[in-house]
Amino acid sequence: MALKLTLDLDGVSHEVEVETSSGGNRIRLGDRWYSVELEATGRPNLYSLLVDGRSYEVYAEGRPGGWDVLIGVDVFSVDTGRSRGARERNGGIAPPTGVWLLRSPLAGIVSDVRVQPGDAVGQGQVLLVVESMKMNNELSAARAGRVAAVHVGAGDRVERGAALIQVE
Amino acid sequence: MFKKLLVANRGEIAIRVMRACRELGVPNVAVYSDVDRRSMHVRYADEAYRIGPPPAAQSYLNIQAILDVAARAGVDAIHPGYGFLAENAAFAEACGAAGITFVGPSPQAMRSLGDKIEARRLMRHAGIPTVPGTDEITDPQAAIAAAREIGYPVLVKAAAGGGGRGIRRVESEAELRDALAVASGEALSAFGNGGIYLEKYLAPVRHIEVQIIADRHGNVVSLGERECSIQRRHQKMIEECPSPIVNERLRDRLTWAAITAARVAGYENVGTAEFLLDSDHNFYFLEMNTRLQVEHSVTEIVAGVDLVAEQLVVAAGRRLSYTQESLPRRGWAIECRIVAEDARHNFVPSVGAVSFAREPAGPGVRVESALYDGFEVSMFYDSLVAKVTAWGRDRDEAIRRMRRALSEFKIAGIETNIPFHQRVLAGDEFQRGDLHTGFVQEHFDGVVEPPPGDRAAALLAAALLTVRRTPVMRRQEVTPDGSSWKGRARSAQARAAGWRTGGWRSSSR
Repeated sequence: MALKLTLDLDGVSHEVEVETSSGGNRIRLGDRWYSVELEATGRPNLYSLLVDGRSYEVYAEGRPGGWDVLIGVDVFSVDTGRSRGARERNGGIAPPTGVWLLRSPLAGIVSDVRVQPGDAVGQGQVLLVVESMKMNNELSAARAGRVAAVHVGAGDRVERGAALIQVE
Repeated sequence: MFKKLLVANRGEIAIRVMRACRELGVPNVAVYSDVDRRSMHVRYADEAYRIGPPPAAQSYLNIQAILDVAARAGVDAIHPGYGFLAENAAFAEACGAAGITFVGPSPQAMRSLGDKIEARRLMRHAGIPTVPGTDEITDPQAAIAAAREIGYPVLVKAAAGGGGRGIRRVESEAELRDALAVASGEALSAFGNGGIYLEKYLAPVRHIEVQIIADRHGNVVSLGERECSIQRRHQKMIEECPSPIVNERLRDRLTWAAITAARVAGYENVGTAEFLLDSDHNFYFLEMNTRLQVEHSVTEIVAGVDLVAEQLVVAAGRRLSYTQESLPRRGWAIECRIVAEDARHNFVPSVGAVSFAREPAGPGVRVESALYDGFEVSMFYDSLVAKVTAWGRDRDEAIRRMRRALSEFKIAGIETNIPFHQRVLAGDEFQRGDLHTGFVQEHFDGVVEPPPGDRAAALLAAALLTVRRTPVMRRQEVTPDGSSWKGRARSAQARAAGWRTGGWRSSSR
């Protein structure tokens, strides 16, 4: 049986065709075919992978819309196409105009809020300080603008990805 | 020797101390905060007691709670590890008042050396050169005037700081105003003392430190130097013993300075004299750390001693078990600190659960950690998750071994700085030993890209896993024997053991 998939890794889409049979698995990646064996080890999520005889140890965790695959010391975040673009990190890339939301890149406690709604801010200006692991982490504006909303106050505990400050 | 010892710390250093206790036959006691109930140091210990909620101020810095446990468990000694209460003279004093031996220097020595401003004065009087700077800043205006005189950039440092905490580099007067407020706040929350001072920012310099140990009988021994020039934001990342720059003549002078520093402070137990070394081989006293250092293992490996065991020996009032002349120096050792900071994303702290961890091993490799599958990196404590040390006959072999060891270190669930270490160790500048404290800023230009084969392998593995996960009904068509789809479903699930086992495990909990 053959199945065609589109996998995304680091913003690049890959055409993949998988043929599974009792004799083994053949997978086409781009225009090349590989013989692939993925053997469970007994430890959940840990596999021995052989690609045309090349040996890899793979730790793969499923997540909504894809897999986080650890090979060597690198984690490859492969999307299977269902929820592309759903992940947002570090507040994302600031658009040149319009609304931009500062999200917390880490979990911690807000130790200082340096701006108020209505304040004009310059690019690189420190907006807020989050304390985590005994360090003050200064979070600054990705571009100039005006503070539209401040969603947290000093002393608040924030999780990674929490909305902190909106700049427009 | 002691009849029972409490370790007032957590993580890898708590286990390190307990290992020495086990070897010496001293029963040991762990303390833990609520988030550490399942941690390795609790499981390793002979006894373990709760001391409070997760914030350090209410647990690992809570002197009363720790002394209550000490009384309840009937210990006669407390080892503070590093960080937390390790350099807290009031704690050492409280231990003494409770009739418990504090494994470390006397409260008096800790006070005079722990106050970096007083320590600088003490060393100047003993003829040891110190970094140009100020005494305590009480008035921001005076600080600004002093900075003008010293010349920018300057460092704003916490009087009660150390271990790279509470240091800010400022380039201008405007920055100095901001930094004074932040540094003081950091110092206050980290050390309970908002005192700060200025030091000239010397560059390029190397960070060289000398490990000493002293007993109660007037014996002070130097165990040689370490080079800790590879730092990020004043945090040491890679340390080695010996230093590639220190020759016998310089070593003699550093040894004299370190031993003199220990003697003028009336020092006992292990300590580290930190120096900056400029390009003309002039050295300047920076501070004396009155505790066991994170990086003590590189010295242990080269000198062939167990520093923690020796700490217990001298704390029990015995003589040092070796003299300066009897200490060997063998080969080269390098340590990499593995911290939960994402080297690919500007070292942002990575908090979360480690779903899978496997530590390196093999010839010449030593790992200190408290990692386990399910280990939680907590926002409440520092980000160190493991220390990897590699030994070789010479520096080249030590580097090769470290690179091999790092390639074996598997951690999933959190991001670490392992890719940072790999990049630094792979560089010519590091391999030449051409180091200075600005090395990372100058040479670290991002992590090494993984081999293209790994990328393809990840895609192939993900493809196969995705196919195995697709609904069983769709795979039904290839059934040659017409067996029921339920039966097929079960065997398909069995084939897909990996991710499905994960799902089952959580539902059966």
